[in-house]
Amino acid sequence: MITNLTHTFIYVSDQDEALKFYTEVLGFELKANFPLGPNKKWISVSPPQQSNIEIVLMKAMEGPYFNSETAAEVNQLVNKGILGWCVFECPDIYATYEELRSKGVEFIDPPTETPSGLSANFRDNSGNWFSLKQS
Amino acid sequence: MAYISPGFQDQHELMNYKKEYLYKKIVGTKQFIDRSYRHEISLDVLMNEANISKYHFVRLFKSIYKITPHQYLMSKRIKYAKMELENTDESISSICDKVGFNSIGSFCNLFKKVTGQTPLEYRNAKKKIDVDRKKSPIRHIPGCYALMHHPF
Repeated sequence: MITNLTHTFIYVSDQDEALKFYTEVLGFELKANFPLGPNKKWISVSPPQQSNIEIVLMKAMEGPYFNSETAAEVNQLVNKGILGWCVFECPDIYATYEELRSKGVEFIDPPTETPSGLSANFRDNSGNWFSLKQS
Repeated sequence: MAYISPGFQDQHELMNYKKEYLYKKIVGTKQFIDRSYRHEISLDVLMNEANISKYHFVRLFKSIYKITPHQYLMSKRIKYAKMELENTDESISSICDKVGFNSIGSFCNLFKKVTGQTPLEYRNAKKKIDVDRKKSPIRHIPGCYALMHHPF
């Protein structure tokens, strides 16, 4: 019986730069950062209040799962900024918007009232977009 | 007719400006804590940074961040203490001092309360995981994704 979500994955253009963004800018906690082999790393972070869920910052690379063409296609999609991965939550969207903007985070739109509540959309430093909603 | 400050079209615009001003102040104070957590920070100092009354300041901070400014400061100190324990061989007392605690007793008590482990237990547990990750990294990632990067 499935009980929990433990890992989710976000493709990024540079794992080290993404790690800096997610920890120093978004305030996520580093969970793991270790090499898996030459040019391969396992890097994961967690939102501050969900340390049991790891967001793995992946780089699409040639290997058993992707051939070089497919890896390049995934990286192109990331660079195009069309991939949206998940929805984050915050206790106060205006304060979070203010703070993240002051740290240089690109917001696609400001906090806006929607049928499901206040929300805004922002990008990480790879171009991926995310929704942010107020809890 | 209610008095509207010069420069504002109506009460609504004035209220929005005040709200934005206060938000900027509270966020600015949080960022001040982020930069200055190692130093002794008193509520009066934070309040002066925000330029609002102490009661209002604490109430507003808590309404936004769900914890008091003091609790936020302590959480930052514990967070950086954990990083120091994981990434350095500095003594517990040195780390206690480095992250801004006045007494090692209060540091250790709070650390245990937050993490469930003493600083030394935390450090030893992390070191054990690091050693195991270096020896056998595949054991620390989900099986299907291990296949992507390192076939069995």
